[in-house]
Amino acid sequence: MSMLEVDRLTVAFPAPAGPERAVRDVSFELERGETLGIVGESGCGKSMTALALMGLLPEGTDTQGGITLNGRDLRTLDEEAMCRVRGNAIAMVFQEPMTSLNPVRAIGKQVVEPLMLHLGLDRGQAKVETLSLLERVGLVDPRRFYAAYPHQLSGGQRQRAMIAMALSCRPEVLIADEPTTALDVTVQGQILDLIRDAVGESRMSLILISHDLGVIAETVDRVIVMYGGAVVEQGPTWDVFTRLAHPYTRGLFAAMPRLGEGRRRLRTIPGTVPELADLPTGCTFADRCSLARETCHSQPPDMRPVGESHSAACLRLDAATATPSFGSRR
Amino acid sequence: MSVFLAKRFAIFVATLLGASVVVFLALEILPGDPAYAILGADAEPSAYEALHRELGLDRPAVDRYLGWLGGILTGDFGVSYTYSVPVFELVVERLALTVPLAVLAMALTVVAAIGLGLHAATHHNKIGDWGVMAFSQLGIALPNFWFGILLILFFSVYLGWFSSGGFPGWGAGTWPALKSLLLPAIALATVQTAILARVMRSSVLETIREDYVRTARAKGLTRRATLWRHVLRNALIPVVTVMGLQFANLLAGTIVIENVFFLPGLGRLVFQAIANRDLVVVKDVVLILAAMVVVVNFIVDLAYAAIDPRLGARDA
Repeated sequence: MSMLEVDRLTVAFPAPAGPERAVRDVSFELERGETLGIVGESGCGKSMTALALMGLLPEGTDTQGGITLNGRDLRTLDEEAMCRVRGNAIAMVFQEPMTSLNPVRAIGKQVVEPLMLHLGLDRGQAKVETLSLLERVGLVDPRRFYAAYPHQLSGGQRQRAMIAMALSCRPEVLIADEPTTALDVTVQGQILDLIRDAVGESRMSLILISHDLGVIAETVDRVIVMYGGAVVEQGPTWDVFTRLAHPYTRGLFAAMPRLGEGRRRLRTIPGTVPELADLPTGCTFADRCSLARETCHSQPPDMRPVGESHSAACLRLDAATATPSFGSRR
Repeated sequence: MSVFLAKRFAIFVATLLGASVVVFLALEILPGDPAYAILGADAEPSAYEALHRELGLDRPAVDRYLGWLGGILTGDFGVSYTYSVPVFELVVERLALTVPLAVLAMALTVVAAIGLGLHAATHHNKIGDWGVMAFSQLGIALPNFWFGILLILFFSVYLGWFSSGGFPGWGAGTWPALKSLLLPAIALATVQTAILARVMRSSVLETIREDYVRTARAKGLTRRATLWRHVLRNALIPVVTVMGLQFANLLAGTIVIENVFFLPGLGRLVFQAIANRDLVVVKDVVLILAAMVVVVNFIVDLAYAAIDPRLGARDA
């Protein structure tokens, strides 16, 4: 049994036009020390999947399916028990370091909280621990940062403080939702290195959510590609990147600007993402897919094997893999 | 910080100067001659002339303005025509009632409004929220003098718990004095609470949606702990702004309420002084009220800096 098992997770929001299913039948497993990437456009359900794992979806959300951590089904836990899981067994780093820290509380006071809450440290012990955490995430001169307020820090420094907070109770799973998207390119690499090092040192598992294929390729062992709330392709990162199977994954790669190709219009995927309240009966990508046939519009695709532990949800998989992909072309 | 204080003091002085000009001009334009008010309309012309000169009303307006201002700067607030005592003594005596009344009303407002606003926000779209909103709608619509009369009818006349007006003085003991201020303070606080509770509710609802509140929950804090540690202080920022504005309103409200409850406070003093054309008193009291509003705004600014570290950094 894997450490974390997500089984047919479905998340629906009530909306005037009928429930919007932001996440549909998402299943994956995560072993101890494993790193998993979730890729997709904004609105594909990747952040909602993360919030579902944390049990932090907005009130009124209809969540179905199972989330099992070390054999314990988190979906059956009450709010009090779930509070003991959050920040302790599963911790999360958010996208916007500028708004994710409380502006009226000093950094130290915010990092101390989970330590006192979950590890039962008193204020003095928690402060000592916090100072060493701040130093570990690269905030040298930790005493200064302990007393500083968020507005006195740069974006990168704030994200380091967020990471210190997330790492404080040595979580088994670290979820990083677009942790570098809001940062300068020069800082992005440093923050990714920090996350990678922390994960490597402590054998914690990582779920890295990103729309940036480069970030995913450099960081994770395994990757899930999401589209319209569902998983369309998954497998070991190397396999997926070299043998792009799903037409959507191929489109995603083709849309990535690359050096050495001269100045030309960037390729895009035609059409727009489907309305969540009004999803087609067949493949959600069919309307935008050049390979789509009659059956694609009427029949929902199931996951089919592409290689060893590499699979994709596409009825036209043979046609899709017959043409050379970006990965193999290189 | 010293730059901040110096700036504040300059604003204080400028506001008072402006207020003094406005008050003086308003009373110049206002019809009614104090000499006639004192002597009566059928006074002897010679007596009128004499009093007119004695009061200095024959001097040019600019002269009289500068004389008044110079007097205040040297601590001489002038003498009341009707009471024949120095205005300063009169005012200090009256402030001993009005300041505690205003502070009591404001304290009731803050406690009730923050409690009700928090309750409504945490029970958003539930019965608790609707109840608070209904109370607030009603409270805003009530004129405070009318509500004061209702309070007298119910608590003083019907239940007999309080006297229906008057003030025994602080010499009679703290509790009897406070007791006589309680109903007027409630009358003043009700409308203010209704408004402030709404501000608090919407501020909390807005703050709850902030990213850092989600971060707090992701750390494992319960809803309640998140509310106290991460929502409350941020939500108070707009509430403090409105509180500052309300204080000026409150002082104006005391003029009416002190008359309803027959309280010998600053409001009643200024009301009677206007009726008696006791212009020295009117001018001085209005200036003191203006000074109080400016001082309260200064306290509000200090409160901001205490709540929000980003502001302290900007001004220091």
